[in-house]
Amino acid sequence: MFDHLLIPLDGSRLAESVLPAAGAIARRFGSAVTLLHVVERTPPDEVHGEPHLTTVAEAEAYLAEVAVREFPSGAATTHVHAPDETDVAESIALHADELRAALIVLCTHGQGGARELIYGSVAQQVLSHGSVPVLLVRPGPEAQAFTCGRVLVPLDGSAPSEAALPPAEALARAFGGRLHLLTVVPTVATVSSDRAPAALFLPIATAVALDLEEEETRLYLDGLAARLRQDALTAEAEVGRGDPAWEVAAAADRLGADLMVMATHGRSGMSAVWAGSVAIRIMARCRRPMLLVRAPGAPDNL
Amino acid sequence: MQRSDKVTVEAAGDVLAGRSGRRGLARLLPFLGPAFVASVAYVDPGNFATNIQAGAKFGFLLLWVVLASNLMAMLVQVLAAKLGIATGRNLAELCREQFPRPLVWIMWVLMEVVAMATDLAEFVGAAVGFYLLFGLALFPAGLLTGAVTFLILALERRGFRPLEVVITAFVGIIAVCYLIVLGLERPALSVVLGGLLRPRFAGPESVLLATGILGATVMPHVVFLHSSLTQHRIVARTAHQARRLFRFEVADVVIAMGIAGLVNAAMLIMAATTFFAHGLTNVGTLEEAHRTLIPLLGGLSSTVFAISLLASGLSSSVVGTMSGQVIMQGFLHRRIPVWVRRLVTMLPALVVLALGLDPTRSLVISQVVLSFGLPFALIPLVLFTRRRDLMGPLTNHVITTAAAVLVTALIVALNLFLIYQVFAGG
Repeated sequence: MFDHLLIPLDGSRLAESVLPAAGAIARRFGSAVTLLHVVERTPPDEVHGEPHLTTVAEAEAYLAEVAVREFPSGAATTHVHAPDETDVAESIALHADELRAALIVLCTHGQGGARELIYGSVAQQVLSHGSVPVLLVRPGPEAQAFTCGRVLVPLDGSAPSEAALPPAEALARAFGGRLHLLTVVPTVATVSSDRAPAALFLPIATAVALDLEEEETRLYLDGLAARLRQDALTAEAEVGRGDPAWEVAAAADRLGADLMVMATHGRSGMSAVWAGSVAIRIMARCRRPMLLVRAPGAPDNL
Repeated sequence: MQRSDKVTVEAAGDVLAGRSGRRGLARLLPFLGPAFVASVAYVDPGNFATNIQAGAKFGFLLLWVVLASNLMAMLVQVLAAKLGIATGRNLAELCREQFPRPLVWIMWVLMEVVAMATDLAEFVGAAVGFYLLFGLALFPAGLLTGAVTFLILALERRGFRPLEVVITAFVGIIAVCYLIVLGLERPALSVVLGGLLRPRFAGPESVLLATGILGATVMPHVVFLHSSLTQHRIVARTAHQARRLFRFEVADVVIAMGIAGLVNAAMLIMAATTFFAHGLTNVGTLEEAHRTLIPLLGGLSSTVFAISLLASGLSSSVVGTMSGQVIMQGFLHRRIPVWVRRLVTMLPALVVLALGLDPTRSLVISQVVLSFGLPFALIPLVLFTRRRDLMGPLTNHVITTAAAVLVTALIVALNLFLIYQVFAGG
């Protein structure tokens, strides 16, 4: 499943937070690893308070040092993309396609700021440009001890959201972890904007419809969990009620999830805000590692 | 489901299933809270304008139109929601499925015009609200309305209900105000009943206003919206589930429309007992209505009126924009960014304000445009809801279909009469 990992690095210790997770996955799946640095046309003086890589030679030396230090088995190769790059996110996505990577492992630091609000973080932009799954790792203690003992899979009930299941199954199997399927059915007060008008005009009927939806969802999730158990995995299902972004983040904390696997539209920045992207809102609330998979077609509000 | 929602729905379910031990008004309580919120959607600035003008110009003459429009709206909206429950698709999606492509495009264009007319009423109403509250000129007030609705649309991502609670509180205040007005004015019951129960017109202008009241009450975009109740994931899998959902939805529509009908009637009666009674038939505007409350309940009441007009305009404008998305998605299976839709639909309103046209008159005309859009929502609705292959256990009874055909025929006749009056010079 994850036979080739692409790890973009910018030279900072913060970006190196992804290496334990990437190493753990590479060991379990026997993956090849490519360490990538994209030299920017106008690199900043520093990144995350540390000197930024500015030249090809500097980047090559740095990546070679990391490859030897982190992947002593020789599983890692390095690649420096020469200067003249203005869109780092697009370049990472293009490299992933070109090198046939099965997974991009990215550090996300959520520094915020106006640029990030408009365009989305680099991680979101990478997702919007390409089709390769992205593992987002935030710097912190969880990043140091990456495991997949408890994998949370939020689903929205649509077929496209099930795109999260195969990678989640593969990781749970490789790490001997358990899967926790979760669907959050909204309440009248928390319906998405495209359902809000009907909820306004028919509040009681909408509440009853959502109630029925909860029952249907329970049947659907129990069916999925049963199928996973037949495939010799440990899986449980849960239906929550409320605002999907809040409830998913709360469930991740409650369960102590080691990883969240989710399908997403791949929208970023303002377009994601306007589209009411749930994935983006969960990313904003949750500090745990998150594997985002591009959903096929055009699902609702993933 | 949140606890409070669940308690309400369970209590309402007990009442509908005949398990409730409640008596009298207590049986209605579980329905009233949400229904009151819903009634806001039926009292938008378009209603403010048509009711006040009708009352000012013709006294109690058109009160029967408010009642008839309400009854028609109840029937039509119940049918629309039933269609959604039975088929799992909304009216726009069914039109796309069942009609030839050119007709679908024509219907979509018409519904976009209707969306603009709806938005014009809501937008101009909110701008007049800003004008009354802060003395802003109407065009800057319109620009401010645009900015605020953009903000609300962005904020709405964080939840719909907090906004609605605030808006409902405002509109609740105005509803209570009107009911107090009625209590104080004490119009003679015989006169009110005469207006309520004797259908008549007094020339083309009264037909125009009646058509406006009808358009403001039986809103075409709501017909499409109601059918989108269950379009997300088919939930009414069994006949039992479908019927259960249908019962709740009838309660929703009847109670919310009932509350809205009372408020609408109160508005018209207030205009009739103040303007019309004092011979002020040419000043039936929102600005005048704002002033009428001052002698009655003091300066605070007029501020409350302006706030409620603003709140009603802003909230219905946001809902209108979102409704437009649902309709477009149904007809074309396409979405456009919500801010693009917001910009496009508010242009006619800004033109009206920039040209300095009389806002209340513009509101009334916009509601007449809505009325002209109605047949294009009603005819397919009647065609679909009578088909057993589409509706299954919720297929219309023969009497229901007959009533719906009658209502549709009445509305079409009223529209045709109005066109004839305009072109033949009545």
